Order: sequence, then structure tokens, then C-alpha cells
Amino acid sequence: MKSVLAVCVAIMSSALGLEAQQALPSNSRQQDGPKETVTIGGATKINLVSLPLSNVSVIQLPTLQAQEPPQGLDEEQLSKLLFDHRSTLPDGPNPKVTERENSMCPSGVGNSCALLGGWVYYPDKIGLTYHNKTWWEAMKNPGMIAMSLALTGATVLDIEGSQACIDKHTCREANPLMRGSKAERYAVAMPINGFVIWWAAREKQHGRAIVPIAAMWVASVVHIYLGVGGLYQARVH
Amino acid sequence: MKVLLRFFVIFLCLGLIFGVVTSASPKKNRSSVSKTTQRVIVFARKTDHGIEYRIKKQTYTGKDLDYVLGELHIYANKESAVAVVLEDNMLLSDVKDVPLMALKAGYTDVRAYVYWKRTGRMAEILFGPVLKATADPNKF
Repeated sequence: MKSVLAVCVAIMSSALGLEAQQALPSNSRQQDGPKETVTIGGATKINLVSLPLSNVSVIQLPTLQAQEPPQGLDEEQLSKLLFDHRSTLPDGPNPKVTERENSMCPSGVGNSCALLGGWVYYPDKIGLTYHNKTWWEAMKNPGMIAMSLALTGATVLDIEGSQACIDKHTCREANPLMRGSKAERYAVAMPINGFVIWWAAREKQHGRAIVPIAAMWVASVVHIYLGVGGLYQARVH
Repeated sequence: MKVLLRFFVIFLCLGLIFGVVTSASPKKNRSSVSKTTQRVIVFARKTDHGIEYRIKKQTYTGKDLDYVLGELHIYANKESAVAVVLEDNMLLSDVKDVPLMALKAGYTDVRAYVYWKRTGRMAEILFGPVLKATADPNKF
């Protein structure tokens, strides 16, 4: 089988070699050869005359040469210019979403919020429930300052109202801690207030401000009630 | 009148004390707390012991998560957001727990997602407008 194949290949190669020899143009035959007659389709006969190639005008085509990058840009800069400029193009216009629509509660402040289970959405504007890094930052919170001032003021009102009432002999001090001169009362009440304020700020620092704020609020209301009552009794009688 | 005057003087003194100390304290731009944009992702799933929350491979209970979110918010700026990924074994009523905690901690951008464990897909939970459950159309 191999021998048969080898014979076939030899025959084919010899045949191709002959054809290639026939196909190669011979310059000498073109220039000096006798006139040949070719029959096309067996009907017409054309006389072939050799044409000297020196009569053909030669057109000089521009050769491809390495072009210099425009304006002195090197390859890398040009590449950036051509390809990377797309990344610097502005993005297409996007539909604008309002802050309200983008919020977790699209209905807005004061309305029910689905993500909160239907509770009314009230973001903590003054940050009373937020954690703070230091005690001082917790104390600087406007809510803490307001409550501290309210508690201190209510305590002052209570002491002054009680004193006015006691001076008029229309009442007596029921609190055993507050029996004594006015200076003694301040000396007792203000450190207690100071401790409560310190504790409240400390709790607020760790995000537990609700209980101390509520305690301060209740204490302030009680102080105001007692103070106003004392002033009223001192004035009436 | 005398009492009112004393009252006023004490309030003035307290205001001065608070004002002076507040103005003497470090300003915001000099604060040591550097706030960054945070993307907090909370995974929530139901276990035999209750709901378990997970942030960065750390598991927390509800109370602990409340505290952790508050502590994280100390270093968070206004663009920070919280994403809650609820596994599909959670109840629909559980969807509000983490948003409430995040809101209390100070985050205003909270998103909730549901995660289907079997298919490995998840989707954002977007609710429609809240309506009042009443037959009276004027009270919607």
C-alpha cells in the first residue's frame, strides 16, 4: 500500500513540475520568439505578437513607510488618546432620584414607613440616640445640654420656691435632705444634679440615653411643680 | 422679683459655663474621629436559638447588634449605608428589626434584601406606599 502511495506521489509531483515549467513566462520567448497562433474555441485564430516591456510606462506607487505619530505623540500617548478617551467621556444622563425617593422611607419624615414595620419615620435630628466616642461629645449634644439646663433650673426653682414659702411660714420642708439653710440645700441638690448629668451623658455615650433623659425629665417636672407650688403659697398667704 | 432675678442669674451662669467649655472644646475639623463612608452588610438568619446576625463573620444577637451598629456609626459619615440580607427562613415581620436598629444608631440609608438559600439568589425588598388598613377611604 505504501509503495502504491509512493508511486502516486511521484507521478503527481512530476506532473505538477511540468505544469509549473509550462506556466512560467519566458522573457526570451516573449521578446524574440516567432509568432504563435492560438485557437480559441476552435473558431477564430488570433496572432500573438510579443510586446516589449520597455514600452510600458512604470507608475511609482508610494511605498508604505512607518508614519510618525501626529504632533509628536509617542505610541503610548496615541493609544491613550484613541482608546482611553472613552473612559473620560461623561456618563449618559441618568434619571434624577430625589433624596426622598432614595430614602429608606419614601413617604418622608412623619409618615408611616414600610421598612420600619409601619412605624412613623422620625430620624433623630439631634442624635440623642447615637453613640459617641467620648463622654464630652455625648455631653455636647443639644438634647443633653437642654435637659441638664432644665434640670438645674427646675432644681433652683424648687429651692427658691420652697425657701420663699418657708420664709412666709406657710409650709415646711418635707425632704429630710433639704432641711437647713439655702446654701446647704444648694450644696446637697447641685452635686446630686451633677451626678445625674454625668450618669446621663455616660449612658448617652453608649447609646442608652432614653432612660436617663426620661429620669431627668420627670425630676425636672417634679421640681417645677414643687417650686411653683412654694412660690404660689408664699404669694397667696 | 428677687427670686426671678436669682433664677435668671443662675441660668446665665450655667449658660456661660456650658458656652465657654463648648467653645474651648476641640472643633469638628480638629476632631480625632475620622468619618468614612461605610457599607455595613448585616446577614440575618433564623437559628434554633433565635435570630442570628452576622457582620464580617462575627455573629451577634439582636441586643449586641444594636450596640455594634451604634459604635460603627461613630466613624460613619452621612453617605454610609446599611444593607440587611435576610435569609428566606425569616419572617416578614423580622424585616423591620435591623432598620430600626440602624435608624437608632444614626444610619438613614438602609436597604433590605432577601436571600434564597437554595438558589443562591437575592433581591432587594421594596415596599409600596403604606396604607392604613381601614374601610374608610378618607383615612388611607
